[in-house]
Amino acid sequence: MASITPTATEPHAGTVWLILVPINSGNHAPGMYLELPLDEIPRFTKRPLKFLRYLGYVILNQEGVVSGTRNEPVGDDDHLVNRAVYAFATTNRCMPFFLVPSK
Amino acid sequence: MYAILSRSEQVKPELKASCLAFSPERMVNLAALSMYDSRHSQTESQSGSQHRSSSVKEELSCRDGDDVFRMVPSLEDDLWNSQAAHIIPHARGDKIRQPRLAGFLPISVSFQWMKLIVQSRPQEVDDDLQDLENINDIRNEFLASPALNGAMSRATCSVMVVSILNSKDVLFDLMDDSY
Repeated sequence: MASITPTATEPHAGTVWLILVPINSGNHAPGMYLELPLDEIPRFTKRPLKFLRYLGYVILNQEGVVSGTRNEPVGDDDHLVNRAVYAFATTNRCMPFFLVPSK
Repeated sequence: MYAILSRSEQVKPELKASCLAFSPERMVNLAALSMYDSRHSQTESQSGSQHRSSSVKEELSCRDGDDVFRMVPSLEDDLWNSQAAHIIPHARGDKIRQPRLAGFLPISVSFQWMKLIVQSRPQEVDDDLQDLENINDIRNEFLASPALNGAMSRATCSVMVVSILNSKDVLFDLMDDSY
């Protein structure tokens, strides 16, 4: 169900990617993504996009939002698109920096 | 707290039930995994697998007592049926493998999930895990029943540690229709 660090450049047919740690092409730092077979996902959930958010949450232990291939926002009730690349970005609940009192 | 992902058809019903039931005392036990004293983790060495499995299991049984998802205390005989299971799978471990293809340059393939996951989780939660690099570190393992361990080996089930503080509602909200 899972895969890591691309030798591939895009998802195989019948799968989607969920990027958990973005690949940094600048310094070649490894990234991490899950390659999820579309036909497996209905075994887990009826709301696949919400399930991706759940996966991001339990793996990274933080809340976050999922965006689509072109960085567009996606909703919990949307359908998965074959070979799409979704990204999980954590939502930081800290105070905005301008509200942090200066030392 | 643990969140369990399971493929419902392939995990035994009773296993699924115990995975989804979080009893208060077990929660303490599970939380102890991520708070486990890092001194103990250093005793694990890169020794042979035979030696590893027995010493690791002793350490795990000291900490976990038994399969952490078992809801009723087991008989002493059953205890040693429990197996040491990896949270982040061994195959996804801590090494960078460089498979060589004949006639081609080696291709670097990283399997360093451990480091990436630890680095990507909030430090205030996983405070004592920043030195966690070895996939066989006891902090990446827990005692599981053979059924659960088997399901994890077949990648039909996985376990992740999630902090309890402030996040119980979030987790249950996300889980509500995930099974």
